[in-house]
Amino acid sequence: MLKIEGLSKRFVGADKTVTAIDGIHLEVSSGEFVTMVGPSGCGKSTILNILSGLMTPTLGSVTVNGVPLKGVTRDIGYVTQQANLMPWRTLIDNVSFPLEVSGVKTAERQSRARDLIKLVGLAGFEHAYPDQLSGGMRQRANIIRTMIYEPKVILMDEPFGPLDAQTRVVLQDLLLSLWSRAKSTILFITHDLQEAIGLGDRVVLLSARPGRIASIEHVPLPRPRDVFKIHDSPDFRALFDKLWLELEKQVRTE
Amino acid sequence: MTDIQISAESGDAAALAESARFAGRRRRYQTTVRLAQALIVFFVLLLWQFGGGILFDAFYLGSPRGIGLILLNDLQDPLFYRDIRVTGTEMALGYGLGASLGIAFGGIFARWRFVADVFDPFFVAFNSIPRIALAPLLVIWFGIDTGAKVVLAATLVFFVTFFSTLAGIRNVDSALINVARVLGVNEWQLFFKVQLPASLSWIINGLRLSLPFALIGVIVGEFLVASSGLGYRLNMYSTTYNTNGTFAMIIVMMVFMMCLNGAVSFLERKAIGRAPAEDQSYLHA
Ligand SMILES: Nc1ncnc2c1ncn2[C@@H]1O[C@H](COP(=O)(O)OP(=O)(O)OP(=O)(O)O)[C@@H](O)[C@H]1O
Ligand SMILES: [Mg+2]
Repeated sequence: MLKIEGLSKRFVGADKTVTAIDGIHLEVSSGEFVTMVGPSGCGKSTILNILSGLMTPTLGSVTVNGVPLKGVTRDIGYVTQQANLMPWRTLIDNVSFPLEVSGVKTAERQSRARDLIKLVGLAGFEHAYPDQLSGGMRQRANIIRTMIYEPKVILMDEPFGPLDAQTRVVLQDLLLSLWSRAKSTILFITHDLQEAIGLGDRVVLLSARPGRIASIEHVPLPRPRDVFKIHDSPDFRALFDKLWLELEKQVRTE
Repeated sequence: MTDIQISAESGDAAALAESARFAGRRRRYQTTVRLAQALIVFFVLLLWQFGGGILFDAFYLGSPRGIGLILLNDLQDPLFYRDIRVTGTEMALGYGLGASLGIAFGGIFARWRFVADVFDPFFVAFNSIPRIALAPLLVIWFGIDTGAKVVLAATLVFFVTFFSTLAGIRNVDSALINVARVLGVNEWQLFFKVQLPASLSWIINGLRLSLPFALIGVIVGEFLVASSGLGYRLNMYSTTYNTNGTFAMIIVMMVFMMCLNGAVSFLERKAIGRAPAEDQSYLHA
């Protein structure tokens, strides 16, 4: 479904050029949840920026269901690390924004937004402004703002990065239930190896900069998963230890 | 269960009491500030009224009593109201024209890089002309009536609103714009649903800052050529060395401007939709 071939990005600056990513190949099938981990600065965000259509690659191509990607498209959603809600809009108006711009009638988009808001436990805050919400609440809003228009592929760039450990797990659980409901394809970036294994069908490990694919591991854990308890499973442990060694190697070479 | 409810209630009560304490302290503080202000006004008026002939020559500074008498007199003069109406109308037209063009051009320049780059030096050059020097030309082009004053005020208002709109739109967080693009906005929606609301506070600030310029433009115009308006009245008093009358007109313009500023602040609160979160500290009243 999502096919990435030979993707490279080189930033040319005044005094030096930085190769952020180099020759990334990846195929993600429909409905799959793929997570990506890698050392800081290895080009993870760069990959998502390209896949979202906001940035053009130096080399390589991206196709969605065989159609080459050209610029931003409603087929691909992008959940960023910062919630980036519009501060002048209430929660419900933020969440329903994508439907508003595509011309969905007020009543329908409000009711769809309300359903999702309730689903992620924000009922009662529909008319709150972003600065009246906590970081975790804003991030929930950020996620359902993308879910609401049901893009085929959803890119997520460390969406739980700035949150505390408990909120993270709660939102991981929430994300898994949203994903199984929407049946979308997700490419999820994280710093956190536990998160990568807990959520993903496959974990893609990137090398230190320039980012290349160091290894891809299949996660042998059954679904539905309980992210609160998953860390106890021996399969989880084994995969964690294996990936941890790899990751350590990449961080060391930096 | 009941225990929890009771403690929640008392928690609410405590929070209410706390905010009442804050409100009370803020009120008391504000009263003190007002009192100090009233005292200052009182002493200045006292000094002004009774210092004439002792501390200074009343010919140059007039006196509160004399100013008051002229104001009372003017307030009964139908021509005074005509003058206010004339100045007000010219100002409203000049402000409306300048501000709407300023916002429109600010939007166009912010959206259209090529136009902005091409016209930038011309705008800077034009804005460098002391507008008073333009007045004689404007009179030739637009006549001695309303036209010249409106245009003079508009040229002043235009640049203030133009530059603040431009700066506001250019300063919109690019992350917000990228997010909106990903969420599927077209260029039109990007402008009206993201860039414009995101820069609203800049635009309103421009509208507020440019308001005095509208009055300046009109008064200067009336000063030069006019047979009515507050500027004309001011000119009339000052050319006859009537200090009290001149002061009276200055006060009228000041009050006039303060009323307008109040109106803009009111509109600003309406436009922003909600008051910014209130500061609990009673030090910033
Ligand atoms: N617009 C840009 N111009 C120049 N260099 C850039 C730009 N964006 C990213 N880079 C460089 O590309 C490299 C990869 O950046 P990127 O943000 O993709 O890393 P990352 O893996 O997301 O890091 P982190 O885990 O810290 O978020 C970095 O060295 C960065 O300095
Ligand atoms: Mg990043």
